[in-house]
Amino acid sequence: MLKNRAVLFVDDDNSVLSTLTRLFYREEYQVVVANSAVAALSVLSKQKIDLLVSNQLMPGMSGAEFLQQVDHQFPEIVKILMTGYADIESLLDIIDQCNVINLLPKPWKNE
Amino acid sequence: MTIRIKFALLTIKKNKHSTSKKSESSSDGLPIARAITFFVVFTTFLFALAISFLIFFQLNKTLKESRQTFIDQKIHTVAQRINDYLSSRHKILQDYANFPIITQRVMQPKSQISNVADFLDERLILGKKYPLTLLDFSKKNIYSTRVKSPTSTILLNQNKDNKIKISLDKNQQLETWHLYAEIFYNQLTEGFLVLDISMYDMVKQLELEKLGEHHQLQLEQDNKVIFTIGSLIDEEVTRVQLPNLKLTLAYRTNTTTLNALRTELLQQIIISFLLLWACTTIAVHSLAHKHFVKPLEKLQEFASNVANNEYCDLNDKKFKILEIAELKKNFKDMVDKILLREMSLKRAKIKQEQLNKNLTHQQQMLVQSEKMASVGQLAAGVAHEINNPTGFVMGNLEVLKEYKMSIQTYQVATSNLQQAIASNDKEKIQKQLASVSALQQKLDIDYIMTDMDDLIADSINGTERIRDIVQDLKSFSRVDDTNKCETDLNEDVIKTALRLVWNEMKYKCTLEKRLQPLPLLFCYPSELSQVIMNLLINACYACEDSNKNKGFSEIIIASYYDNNTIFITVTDNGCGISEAEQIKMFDPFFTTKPIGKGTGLGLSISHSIIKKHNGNIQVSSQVGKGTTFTISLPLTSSEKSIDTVDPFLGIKTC
Repeated sequence: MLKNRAVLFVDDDNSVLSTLTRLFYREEYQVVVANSAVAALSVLSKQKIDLLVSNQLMPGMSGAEFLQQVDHQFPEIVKILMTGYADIESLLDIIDQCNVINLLPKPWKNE
Repeated sequence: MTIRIKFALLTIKKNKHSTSKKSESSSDGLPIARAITFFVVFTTFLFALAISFLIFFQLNKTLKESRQTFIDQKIHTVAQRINDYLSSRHKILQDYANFPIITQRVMQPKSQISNVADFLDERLILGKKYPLTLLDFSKKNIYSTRVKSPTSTILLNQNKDNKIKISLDKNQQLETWHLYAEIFYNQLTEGFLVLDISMYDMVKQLELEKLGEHHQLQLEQDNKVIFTIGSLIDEEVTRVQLPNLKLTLAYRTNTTTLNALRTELLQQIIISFLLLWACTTIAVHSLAHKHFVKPLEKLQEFASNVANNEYCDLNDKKFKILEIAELKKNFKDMVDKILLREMSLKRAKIKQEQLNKNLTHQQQMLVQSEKMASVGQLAAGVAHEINNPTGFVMGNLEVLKEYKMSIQTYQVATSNLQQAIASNDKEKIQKQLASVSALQQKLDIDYIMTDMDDLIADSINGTERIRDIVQDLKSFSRVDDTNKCETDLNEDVIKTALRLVWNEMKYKCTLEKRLQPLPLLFCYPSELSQVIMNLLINACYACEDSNKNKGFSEIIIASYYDNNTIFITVTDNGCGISEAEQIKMFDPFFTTKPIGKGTGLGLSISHSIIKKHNGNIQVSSQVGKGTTFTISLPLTSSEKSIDTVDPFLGIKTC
């Protein structure tokens, strides 16, 4: 079975990444993970990614900054912002700025 | 000498008394009875000395005067007696000279010699025979009754002033008086009748030998001593002129007796003075003891009782000395006042303690609320840190659910296979075996089995992370942690604070830990970790504020031990604090954060916590470059202010 769609998960927490990999294991997506914005950017430059799910809070470059760069470089990628912040209101600006199509709060529901 | 010995005895006696007293009272100084006795002894000594000398000199003077009077009287008496002795004999001689037989014989020297001789031989003067000599007008011897040298010439010293006619021997040392009477005929001196009186006879008659025992009597003529009675005495002389004679009577008396008398007098005075002195001393000492020492001892006893919180009544004691009685009264009043004051002090102290207790409670509440505010500031980070593991643990559990379904399906297939094996139907076995392997491929059982281990490990790790963070929050916000304990500041203070702040910090800056091994400090660990957390939050805030554009934020936390003091520094490269802000930053309610973001109590409370630990908190900052907070906590004297309450909690009153 060829997985023709690629999903990139970016999170600083490796446990989160492995869980996401597990969740999408059965789906028809190729799952790629990166544990920092910098690593993710290098992945993006190497292979085509269709869906990008990024965490907001990360050391070094934050999710918002990262998505802004991605939006700038790869506007065709569908972007989802994932966050553990309870304060969702403050993230609305980021959503507007980065063409994020959805906001995924942590802890997420699997469906 | 006697005085000295007596004085020494008295001193010894007093010393004995005073040493016994001294052993009772521990303080140094002269006992009052002894002091008074000493003063009295000293003054009475001077006074009695003066009086004694005065009396002695007065007595001596009187003695001398009376003695002089006595001597004068005596010598006059003696002179009178000598005079009487001579004049009575001269008068008789004069009568004899007027006898006609004598006159006749002088006028006619050649005739009637035998008659005259008979007459003169028989003459008695005052019942005693004396040698008589008859001289003619040319002082030639006519007849003499002298036994020895009857022919010796007598030089008649005719002195008309003398009423008693007397002549002396040539040799100037008087042995014999020559008393003579002139024999007149027709107013012409025709001859002389001479009477020889032995000097010793006169002395014997007048009983002058007795006088010679203690006195010296001398007869002088023209300043020449002619006769001496008594032994030679070199003393003051009293002279008196003998009436009717050109003779002086010199009288000297022996002063040895007088001196002996004088010494005896002096001794008596000294003895009576010493007796008086001793009596005065004893009387003064006992009186002083009764009226000064005993009342003062009572007062002293009372005072020491008061000092030992034992009160006794002084009312039954009556003191005769006005000042001491007043002192007692004043002292009693003072003690009453002290008691009153002590009572009011006790009341005030209880009140104060209550206030302090309340204040401590208030302070604890304030510290606690600030702590909670800090936790609030960390809430977002903490929430994220809880949400993250919760998220993936929940995800894992979902996956686990799917895995379980797959395994269940696989298990049905395998049980079918087991049944086929049991039935021993080869075809069936083949079919079921194929189905099992297909399912194994389809459900990816191998992957599930391997991944399940990771899944479970991840989930356990995630729940542990949640547990830890909750644990940290709990331990940080604990209220009942009021006991001091020996603490490793690196482990129990810095790392605890870091664990909580790190959730927030890690997205904003890097942290460098330079923790050197520290000795244990006796402190309140939860309070100190509150301080560290507060400084870290501030540092984070400073970095967040200023380094949005700079990109690189760094916080360094360091600890080291030097010179009995533990130092903890928190350094950031954030926006820095201006000098004006530095002055006010430890004031309560001073904050640079937007409204609602900070209480303004963080540094103020940190300051009071560090002061409570006898430490110090200092800041050095440069605007735009960064800030370093340095906390110093002394290892010693940490016991000192456990119970002292800082009532103003570092709040400065302006």
